[in-house]
Amino acid sequence: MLRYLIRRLGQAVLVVAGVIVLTFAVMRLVPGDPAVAYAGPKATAAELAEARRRFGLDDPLPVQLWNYLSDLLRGDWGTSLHTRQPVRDDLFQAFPASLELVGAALIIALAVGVPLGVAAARYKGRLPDLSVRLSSMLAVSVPVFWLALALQTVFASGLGWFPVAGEYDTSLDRTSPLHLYTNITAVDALITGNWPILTSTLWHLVLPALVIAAYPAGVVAQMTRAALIEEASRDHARLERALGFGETAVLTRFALRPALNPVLSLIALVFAYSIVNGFLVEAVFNWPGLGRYAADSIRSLDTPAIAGVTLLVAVLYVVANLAVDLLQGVVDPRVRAR
Amino acid sequence: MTAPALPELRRTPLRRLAGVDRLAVAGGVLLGIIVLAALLAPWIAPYPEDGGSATHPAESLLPPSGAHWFGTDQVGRDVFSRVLFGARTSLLIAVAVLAVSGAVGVVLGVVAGYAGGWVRDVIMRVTDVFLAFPALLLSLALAVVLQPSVTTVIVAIAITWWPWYARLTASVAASVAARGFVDAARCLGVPAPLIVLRHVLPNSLTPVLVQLSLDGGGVILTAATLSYLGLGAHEPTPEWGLMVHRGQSLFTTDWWVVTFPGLAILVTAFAFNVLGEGLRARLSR
Amino acid sequence: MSLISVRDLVVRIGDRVIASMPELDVAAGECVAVVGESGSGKTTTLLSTLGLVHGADVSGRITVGGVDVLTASPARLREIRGSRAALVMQSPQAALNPTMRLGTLMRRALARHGVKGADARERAEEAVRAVLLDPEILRRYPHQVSGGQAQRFAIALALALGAQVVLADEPTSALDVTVQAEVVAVLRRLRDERGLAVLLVSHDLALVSTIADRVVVMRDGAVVETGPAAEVFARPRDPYTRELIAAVPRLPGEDGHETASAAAAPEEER
Repeated sequence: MLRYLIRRLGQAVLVVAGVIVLTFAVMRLVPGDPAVAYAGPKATAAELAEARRRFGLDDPLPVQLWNYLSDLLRGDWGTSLHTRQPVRDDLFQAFPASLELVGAALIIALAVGVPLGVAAARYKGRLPDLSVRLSSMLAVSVPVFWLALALQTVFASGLGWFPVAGEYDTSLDRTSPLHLYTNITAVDALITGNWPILTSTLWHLVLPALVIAAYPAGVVAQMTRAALIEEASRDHARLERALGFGETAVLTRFALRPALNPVLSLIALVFAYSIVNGFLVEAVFNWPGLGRYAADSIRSLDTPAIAGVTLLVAVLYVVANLAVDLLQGVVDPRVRAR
Repeated sequence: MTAPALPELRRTPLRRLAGVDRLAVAGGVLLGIIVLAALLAPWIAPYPEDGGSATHPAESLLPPSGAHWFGTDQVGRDVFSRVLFGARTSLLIAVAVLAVSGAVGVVLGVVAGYAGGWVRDVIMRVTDVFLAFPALLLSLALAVVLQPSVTTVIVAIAITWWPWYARLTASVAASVAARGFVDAARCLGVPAPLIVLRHVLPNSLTPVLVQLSLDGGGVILTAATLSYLGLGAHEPTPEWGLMVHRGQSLFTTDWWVVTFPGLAILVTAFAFNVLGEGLRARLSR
Repeated sequence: MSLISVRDLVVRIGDRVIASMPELDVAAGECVAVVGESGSGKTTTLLSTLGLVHGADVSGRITVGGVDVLTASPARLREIRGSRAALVMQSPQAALNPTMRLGTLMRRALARHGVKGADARERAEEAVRAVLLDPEILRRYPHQVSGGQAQRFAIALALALGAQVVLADEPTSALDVTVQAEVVAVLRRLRDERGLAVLLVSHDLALVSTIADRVVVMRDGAVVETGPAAEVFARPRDPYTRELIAAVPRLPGEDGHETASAAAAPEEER
C-alpha cells in the first residue's frame, strides 16, 4: 500500500511538472506583449524596457522556464497585470467562492442523483428506470451556458423568485458585516452566526448551483444505478434476500454502501470538471469566483493570471485523482485493512 | 401449467433487453433525423438564403409564427433556417474532432502499448498532463493564438480530446501485443513497424471505435461552448453556440432567439448520448 | 411431517427445462443431499424452495414449514425466508456484504424478523457459540474472518432466526479439507442435537457420504436415482451414479469425515 502510494505521488508530481511546462509554453504562444500590457499603451521605450527587464522577458526561454519554476516553488505565482496584485492572493480570494458554488452543486448532485439511481435500480427495466435514465442523459446533454441563461431569465429576471446575480446582497455588509475565516461566504456566515448573509448567500446559490449540478447529478444517477444493479447481483445480495429482505431493503440497506464506492470516486473526478464548467455559470450569474477572474484575465491578456488559474485547476484535477484512491479506503473496509 | 406467483418472475430479462434496444434505436433515429436535416438544409430550410449573410431589417425579431416557426433574429433572418444550417456546422465539427483526435490517440496508443517500457511511460505521462490540463482553458488559449474560426474549434478540442483514446488504445494494444501471434511474428523476424500495422493496430481498433461513437455529444457541447465564448465560428456562420451568444441579451424580451439554438444543442447531444448509452448497454452484456 | 416438501417441481427458461424434481421431502433431524455435476439443476432446485429463482417459470408444489411457496404472497414469502429456512452459500466471503460487520448483518436480520434489543444480542451470541465461534467475531468484517468461520456464521444466522431448515448450497467446496470437516461436523451436530433439517446440494460425494441420510442424484435437470444414502453408495442402480461414485478417489468409509473430497474445485453453477 505504501509503495503504491509513493508511486502514485511520484506520478502526480510528474504530471504537475508537465502541466507547468505546458502552461509556460502556452503563455509564450499567446500573442501580445505582457510588457506592453503591464506598462500601458502610452509607455515610453524606457518604461517598456524596464517592464521587460522586470518580467525577465529578455532572458533565453529555458532560463525563463527555470525562473518560472523556481518562483512557483517559492510560492511566487507572479503578479497579475490587471489587478496588480500577486496572482496567488487573487486566486486565494476567488477560489473560495468557486469552491462554495461547486460544493453546493455537488451536494445537490448527490442528493438528487443517488435516490434517482436507487429508484432506477429498484424498478430496473420499468417506467421509473427509463425516466431516470432519460432524464440523466438529458442532464448531461444540456449546454450549461444556455441552462444558466434560461434559468436566470425565467426564475430571476422573469418570475423574480431568485436573485439575478452576485454571491449575496452586499448592502448587508453595512448592517451585518461578515468576519472572514475560510473566505467561503456561506461557511463563514454559518460559523459566525451571521444569518442575514447566510440566507442571502444560500438564496443566491440556488440557480447557479442547480445549473452546475445538472451534469454531475446525471452521471451520479447513472453510476449509482449501474453500481447497485451490479451489487444486487452478487452472492451477498442473494443471502440477504434469503434472510427475508425485500428488493428495496437489499438495495438501500445492503447494496448501497458498497455501491457508493465508485460513485464517490466519480464525484472526485467530476469536481475538477465542474470547477471549469462553473466558469461559464459564474460569468452568467456574476459570481465572484475563479471563472470571473479568468474571464477578466483573458480579456486583458493577463498571462500570469491565466497561468495561475490554469495551474490551480490542473493541480485540483491531480489532487482529485489522488483523493479518489484515498476515498476508497474510507468507504471500503477491505481497502482500509491493506 | 405456469408459475402462479413468484414475484421475481414477472420481470423477464427479455423485456429488459427489448427496452435497451429500443433506447439505442430511438437515439439512432433521432440522430438520423438530425443528420438528414443537416444534409438537406439547403432544400428543406424555408429561407435558405438566411443560412448566410442575408439581412431583412424590416423583419427583425418577429416572434414564432406560421411563416417563421422559430421567429426571426436581430437582422430579420429566419431562426428555423439558421438552426437547420447550424446542424451542418456542429456535425462537421464533431466528425472532424473525432477523426483527428481518434487518429492521433490511436497512433500514440498503439506505439505505447506495443513498445511498452519507457516509451509507454513517457507517452502515458504526456497523456496525463494533457488530461490534467483544463480542456476549456487550453482551447481558449489556442483560440486566442489561432484566431477564432471553426477550424480553431476543431483543432482546440482535438488537442484536449486525444489523450482519452491514447490511454484506451494503449491498454488494449498492450494486451494484443502480449498474444501469441505477435510473438510468432517477432520470432519470424518481421520488422516492428510491420507487426504494429498488420497485427496490433487492426486488433486494437474496436474499443476505440465504440468509444468514438459514444463521444459525439461531448464534442457537440464543447464546440458550442467555445463558439458561445466567441472563440469559434463568427458571423454570419450559422452556429448554435454563437447564436445563443449573440442573442443572450435579448433573452427576456425575445426568448426565441436563444431558446431554439440552445434546444438544438441539447437535442443533438441527447441523441448522441441515448445512442451511446444504448450501444454501451448492449456491448457490455 | 416433513419440513420441506416438493412435488412435481419443474423450472423452465423458455421451453428448456433446467430442473425437475418429482418428489423431495426433508424431515426434522434429517439430511438429504442432492448430488450431480454442474448444470444438473440441483442449485436451482434448492433456490426454488425459497422462491429465489429469477427469470424462470416455476411450477409444481413446494411447501416449507407448511407454507406453500409458489402461492404465498411476496410479503409472506419474505417472512419465511430466514425464519423457516435459511441459506448457506458456496463462497463464504462473497456471500457476506463486504462493508458490513457480521454483527450488524445479524442484528438487521433479527430485527427483520421482529427480534430486537437485548433479546437479539442474546440470541446472536447463543447462536454464534452453538457453531463454536467466539462472539467476538460479530465485531469483524467479512474479510477479517476465515472461510470456515464465515460458513459457520452463516449457519449461526439460521439458528438465531429460529430456522428449522438449512439449505446448504455447496457449503464446503470453496474450503480446504480440514475446514470442510469442521463445517460438516457443526451441521451434523445441529441435525442430531436440535433436529435441524438439512437440504444439502453438492457434487462432492465424499462429503455427502459423511452426513446425508438420503441421496437424490440429478443429471441434466432430472432425477436419475434416489434412496437411503447407504444403499445408494453400496448398490448404485443408475450407471450415472456408478460413474460418480467411481470418480471418488477413496471409497467413502464408515467414518467418512476423514475422507478426502473428490473434487475441491469450486463449482460454477447458475
